[in-house]
Amino acid sequence: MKQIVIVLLMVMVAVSANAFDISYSKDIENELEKVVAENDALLKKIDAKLLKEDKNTILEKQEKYKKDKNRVMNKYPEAEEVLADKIVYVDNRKLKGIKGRKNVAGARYAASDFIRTIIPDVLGEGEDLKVLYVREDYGADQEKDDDGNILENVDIKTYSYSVRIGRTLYGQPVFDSFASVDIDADTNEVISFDLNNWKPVGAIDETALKTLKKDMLKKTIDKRLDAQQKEHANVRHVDVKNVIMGWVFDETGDALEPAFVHYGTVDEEETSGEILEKKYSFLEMMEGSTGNTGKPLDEKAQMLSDDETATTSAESENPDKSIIKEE
Amino acid sequence: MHKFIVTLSLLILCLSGAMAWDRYTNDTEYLIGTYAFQKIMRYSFSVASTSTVTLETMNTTGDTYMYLWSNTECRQVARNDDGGVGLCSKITASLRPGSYIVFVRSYSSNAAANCDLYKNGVKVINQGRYSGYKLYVGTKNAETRFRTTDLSAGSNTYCLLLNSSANLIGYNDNYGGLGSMVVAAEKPSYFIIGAYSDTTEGTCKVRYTADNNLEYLALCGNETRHAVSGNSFDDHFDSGSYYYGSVLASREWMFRGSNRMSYADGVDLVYIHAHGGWGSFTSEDEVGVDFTHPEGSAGGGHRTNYKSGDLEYIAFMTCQTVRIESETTWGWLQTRGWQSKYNSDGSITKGFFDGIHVVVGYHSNHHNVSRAFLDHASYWYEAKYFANNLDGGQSIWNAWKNANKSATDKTQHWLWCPNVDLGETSSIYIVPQANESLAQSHSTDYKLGDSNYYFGWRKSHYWYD
Repeated sequence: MKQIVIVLLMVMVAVSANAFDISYSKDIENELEKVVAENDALLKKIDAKLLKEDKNTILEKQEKYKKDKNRVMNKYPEAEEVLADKIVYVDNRKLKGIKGRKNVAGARYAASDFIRTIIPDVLGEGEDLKVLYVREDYGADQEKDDDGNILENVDIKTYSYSVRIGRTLYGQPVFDSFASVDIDADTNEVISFDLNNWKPVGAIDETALKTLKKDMLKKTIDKRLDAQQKEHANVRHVDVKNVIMGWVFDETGDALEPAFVHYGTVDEEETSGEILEKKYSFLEMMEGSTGNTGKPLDEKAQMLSDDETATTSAESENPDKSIIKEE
Repeated sequence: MHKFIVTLSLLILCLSGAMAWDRYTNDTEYLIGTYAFQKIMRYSFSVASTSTVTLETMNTTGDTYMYLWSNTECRQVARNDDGGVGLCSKITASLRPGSYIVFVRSYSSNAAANCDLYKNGVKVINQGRYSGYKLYVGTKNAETRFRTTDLSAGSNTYCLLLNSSANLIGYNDNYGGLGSMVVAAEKPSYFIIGAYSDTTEGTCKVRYTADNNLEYLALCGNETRHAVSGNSFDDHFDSGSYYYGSVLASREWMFRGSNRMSYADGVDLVYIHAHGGWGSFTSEDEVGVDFTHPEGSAGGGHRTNYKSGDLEYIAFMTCQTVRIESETTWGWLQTRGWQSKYNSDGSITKGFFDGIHVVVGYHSNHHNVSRAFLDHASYWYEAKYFANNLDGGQSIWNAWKNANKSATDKTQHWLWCPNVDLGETSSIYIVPQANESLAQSHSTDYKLGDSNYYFGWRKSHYWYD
């Protein structure tokens, strides 16, 4: 049976370069010291279950922060930029429709402020924090009178909030970077957090991102498609993110499986066009192979940005056909 | 053809052997000793409408000890030592409609004597024989199983189990022969060995088995086997610590009648991934299973006086099974059949929570984010995270809601895509047991009438930007 295969390509490339220096004003020096002190105090309150290495990582960040701050302050004693420029973005317009008893706004702010506090270089130029979602954990327990009879009263209590915070750079989401913060609903204090998925500022190249041309990417993709592929392929979307994904679709529009899954990273010497070509050659191989072994032609295209990608790549290389059929 | 039939028969035998486990399959049974036993007196009666009943032993040369047990509620109503004349016992109680049984044993171990038994002033037993061997069983956990074996010829045991406060917590006549078996609903202290009748006294061995292993049952719907096994729940549960058979296709009869003792009530945790509705789910063969039907569901061993099975936790990866039907009232818990209740005539309608501690599931639809967004469907990850969280010692509820969070994060992690809604997790629980982890599965089971039998619910709701 002839199967029409449509390839949907989503190309998302983010680029990285060196972190930029951050200048601080004299006015905030004391404030920064205070923040560090507060961090130390806060760490003592953190759930004892947190892994020791997490604490060590944070402490290392704080030490680095202190050194950087001293270096900057020594070099630029006249620095005027203030930390206020790096304020957390909380869009209160998003709060409409939330029930009055839920202090979601407070949780959002507390979580964002916590991230800003605990990661000294959380935001650089062009960056902003974005709350991905807030989850409220709430409920009620039956109450009894002195005789043990269950009362009709229902006292709903909010226990905690879980806030997921992502980051944007020049309005584009910084893919693969988010923080998880759990907030006590009564005290608005952080009761646990997870920074395992937070990408440091230094991993992002703002210059390359600024110069990336979407049209050029589209043209390059089109150029790489041969006539046969063009019959069955439809490039629907090209965007600027740091991942490339593609899926093979059947004629009904159902996704059969990922054509490829790959994170993009850009070396400073290379242009975005070259990178795209290499990645596209990977796509081309996937499209040409109905068995979809998932093995890229270009080793460069196999560069994985982190362990998570490595896991995913391995899974896509060994799809369980029976499972795919069953689903 | 003949070979085919033989092969098929062997296959059925193998399958039935593999499937029909009980919660003690992987535990060691220990011998306490060999004991001579004598009759325990008993008398059964029913009450049609709420009324006061007085029971009294009289005219004995011995020392009676009397228990009044409700078969309907599977609980002791009252006990008494010397409330009657001399060393006789007497109980007066207001009884709800239901069936009851009175046990009379000798205060001292194996000190046989005779007595009359009166009910509301009417003699119902004339000079019946009573005795019983009172065996101290030491410090044991709830869920410990006691049974009599190796009975002498012609004998037949009838046994009671007492807790540390000397209250009756279960009884049994025969289980798999003429021997008796009782599982402790709470920490036991005494096992009373008696005979069924005057003519079946003899000797027996008493053995006990502690329920040291946690068992679980993983069930799939007609489209979800791979979500239960293979990359997800079953593969990530620590099989080195937990006993299980294998992932099974869910069937309605696994939750009803005697079958549930080998399935839903033969384990501590049941995990189900299937289609669902309010208080129900759809089995693999498309049969609806109403969990909250009072006569039809697994609910723990309180439905039997000897407590042979006991499910504590159940997780529904289904749509809306654990629906929080109202956030402002409590009546739905009883109407839906989760919570047992007293009816206006004093009778009891049993609910799903009759030994169950915590149920987790979804208040909303459970949305599976397919490979259109992920390399694998999100529920694969969700099942995996739930198993890992349980293994990590998280409470049932935290393991459940955090699994959903992690799966949501995983989704967003891939696409940074807003509004990926996997559903609102929810839980219904007995309040004192709300935060239990699997390690606490041996905590006391509560039922209607216990001071700790009151409920709560939790829900996770989230907003996207």
